[in-house]
Amino acid sequence: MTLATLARTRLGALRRIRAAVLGAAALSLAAVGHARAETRLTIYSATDTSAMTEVIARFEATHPAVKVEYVEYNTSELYEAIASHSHLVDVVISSSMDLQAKLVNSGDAYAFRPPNADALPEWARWRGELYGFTWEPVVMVYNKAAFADRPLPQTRSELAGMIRDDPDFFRGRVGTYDIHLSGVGYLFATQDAQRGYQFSRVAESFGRARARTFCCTREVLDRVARGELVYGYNMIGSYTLGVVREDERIGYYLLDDYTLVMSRTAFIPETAPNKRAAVSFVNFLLSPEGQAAIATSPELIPLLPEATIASGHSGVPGTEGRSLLPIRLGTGLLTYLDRLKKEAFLADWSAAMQVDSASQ
Amino acid sequence: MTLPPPLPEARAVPYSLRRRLTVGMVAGFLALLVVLSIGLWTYARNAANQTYDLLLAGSAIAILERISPTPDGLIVDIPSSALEIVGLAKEDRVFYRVFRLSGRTLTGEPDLPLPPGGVRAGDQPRFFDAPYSRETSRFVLQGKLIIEPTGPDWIMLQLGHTRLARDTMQMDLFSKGLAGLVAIAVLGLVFMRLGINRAMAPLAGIEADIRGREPSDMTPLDAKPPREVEGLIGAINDFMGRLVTSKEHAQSFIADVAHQMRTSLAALQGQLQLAAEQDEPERMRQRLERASEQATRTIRLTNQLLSHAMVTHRGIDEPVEKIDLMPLIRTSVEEFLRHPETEGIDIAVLHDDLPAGSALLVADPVALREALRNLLDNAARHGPKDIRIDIGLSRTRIDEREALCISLDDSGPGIPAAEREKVLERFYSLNRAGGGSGIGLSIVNAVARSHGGRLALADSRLGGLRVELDLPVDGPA
Repeated sequence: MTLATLARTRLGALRRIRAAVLGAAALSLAAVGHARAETRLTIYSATDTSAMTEVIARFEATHPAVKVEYVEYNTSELYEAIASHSHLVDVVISSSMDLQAKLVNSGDAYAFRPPNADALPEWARWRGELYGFTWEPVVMVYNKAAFADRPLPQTRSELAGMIRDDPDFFRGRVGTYDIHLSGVGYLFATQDAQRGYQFSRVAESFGRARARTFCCTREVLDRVARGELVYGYNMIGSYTLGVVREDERIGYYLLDDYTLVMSRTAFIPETAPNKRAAVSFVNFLLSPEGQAAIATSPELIPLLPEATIASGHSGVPGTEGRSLLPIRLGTGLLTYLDRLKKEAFLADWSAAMQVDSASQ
Repeated sequence: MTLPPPLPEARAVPYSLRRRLTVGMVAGFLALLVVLSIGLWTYARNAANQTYDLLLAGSAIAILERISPTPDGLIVDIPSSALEIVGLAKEDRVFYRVFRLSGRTLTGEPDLPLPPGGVRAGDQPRFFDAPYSRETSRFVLQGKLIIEPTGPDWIMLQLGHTRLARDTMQMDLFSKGLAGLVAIAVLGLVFMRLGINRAMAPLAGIEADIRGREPSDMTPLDAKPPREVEGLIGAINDFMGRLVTSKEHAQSFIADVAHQMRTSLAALQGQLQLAAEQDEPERMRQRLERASEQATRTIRLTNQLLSHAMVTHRGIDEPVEKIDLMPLIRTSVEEFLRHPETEGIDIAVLHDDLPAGSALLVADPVALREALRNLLDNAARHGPKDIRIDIGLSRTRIDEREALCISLDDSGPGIPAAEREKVLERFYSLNRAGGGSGIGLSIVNAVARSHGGRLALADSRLGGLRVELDLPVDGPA
């Protein structure tokens, strides 16, 4: 199967889920007899519906007149849908910070100021239009059994060295994002690339070990759990944490040199039909109540630390004292979206990974 | 006598010096503020542009450095530092385009607006504003000459961002500068107001002084006025001085009149008494004739007193008419000669050096006629029956002012030089017995003074008295 075919198949497999179940709260209200004019709030999101269920339910409970329609996309698909201006959308949510920044940079976003704007970390907001609402470190996962009697690499340099020194152990058993397919994977890779030469060493060693690439964190986690893979590189911490809690076979940790932190971001398109409802939804996401709702999801970690603590959510254990590098929203994210730059980067990556049909 | 009423209330709303000064200064400050604001606005815009143009220029250099030819083709490797440098203008959106001079876009937004005047090859940065993406954006356009296998070509970079940070900085500079300006203006106005109040304080003191006075208190104001109102205070003091003098004059005039009338009437009563005591008809007739003469004198005195009072009173009102002296003199002489007792008097009017119709002057004709009548009367009364009177009219000067001189020469007895000053006073007569009331010349003198002119007495070439009445042509000063 060629790369192109694979991509088409994967995209086609993504279902758009109408979150009819999320309308439950509104329906019950209607049953009580409230003949209220309903506002339909359309959210296009590159986040699993299951992760957002509780958040949306709580929002609908406090805003009875609003009914949320949640449409799930993958990040690139979402970008294309919004950039083409072909859909009327109220809120756009994506983990792909760079694509979100590009959409905002094109002037399509609506500016507003959440009541607690000043409490939000500076790196997670831009122009009063784009707001991050989660805090998700990028982690490494491993199969506990496989690493039972061998040390875990503590830096990217060590990782490259171990793969080089023990090619048999790692061959075909290292997994990471396919950055051609995954916007988030591309974001992490380009962020790594900006941190220095270690990353090119890692990429080369991945290629030598015939590392396998996947569309999503979950795909990698499943295979690591089964032992099909022993090591997963650059996994989204929040998903990982949810899986690790349930699955004894997987471990996760943070490298010593640095740990990227990404944030899921939301903005309201200038063309949003229901701006008022959209603003109240994003304000809710950023409010202590919304953050607490996010904390209840096993797959998300709220942006505000107090929400993490208040909900008993422990955040990501092991992040204390690490050199955390939040990915900063801003024009810097546009660099690797440059057409020539992206082509060159993907070409370099493919060359290093020697991605071809043989790797599958 | 009372003080003149306080400033007439009839004048609708008196203007306020304080308000005039304040309005003037506020207008001045406002005009100044507007001018400075325009300057400040331009300055703030330039300062903001210069600051953020440096960001654009720096980023452009970083990007151009990473454009290089390779055997496989052109490499354009946008460094993330470049967009992050532009991103130092935190809230601004960034746009760029790398293209060949021919117009073919290599990367970036293909629809960026070109500078006015189009794209020119060159490695100097060009900055310009242009609307893009619903906002005005600031762009830099800079080229780099690349030597490719196919030959040299200019690769152009256009980099820009929205003006949010610039406008914010401009507004910040402007509002801070303006706040300073406004503060200075307000302080200036406050100090100016205090200054005006301080400057006006003496005026209020003077007003209080005048208002607080007894009606009879005519002593000069003792305020120490600033130079600017010193003249006003001086004028007020002068005016009060004149009021005092005028009041004194009036009082002494009334006293004199009372005395003269009483004396004259007492004399008349004495004559009548004597006449009544006479048994002989002849002597009684003589006494009665004396009484009649006394009555005539009394009537004449009364007339002259009334005439004097009239002249003095008229003198208060400024004469405004421009009259011709010549007919006035002529009618006065004719009227005088109409009396039977003037028979034998020879009067000549000489005006050789003044053509007819040129003896014009601003004067009160009634007062002048009265003065002339008194002069002629005087000459006739004190001179011989066939007295000769020459009336002359000539040009002269009072100080620097043009004037006309009416002169009367008579062949009468004249007045000794030592007495000439005294006869101008009221009720001083050289010849009481001859029927002189002592008022005639003082009436003429009053007319001269009320017209801003002067009266002079001298020896006449006819042997008697020469009277010269000089009157300024344009009326009293």
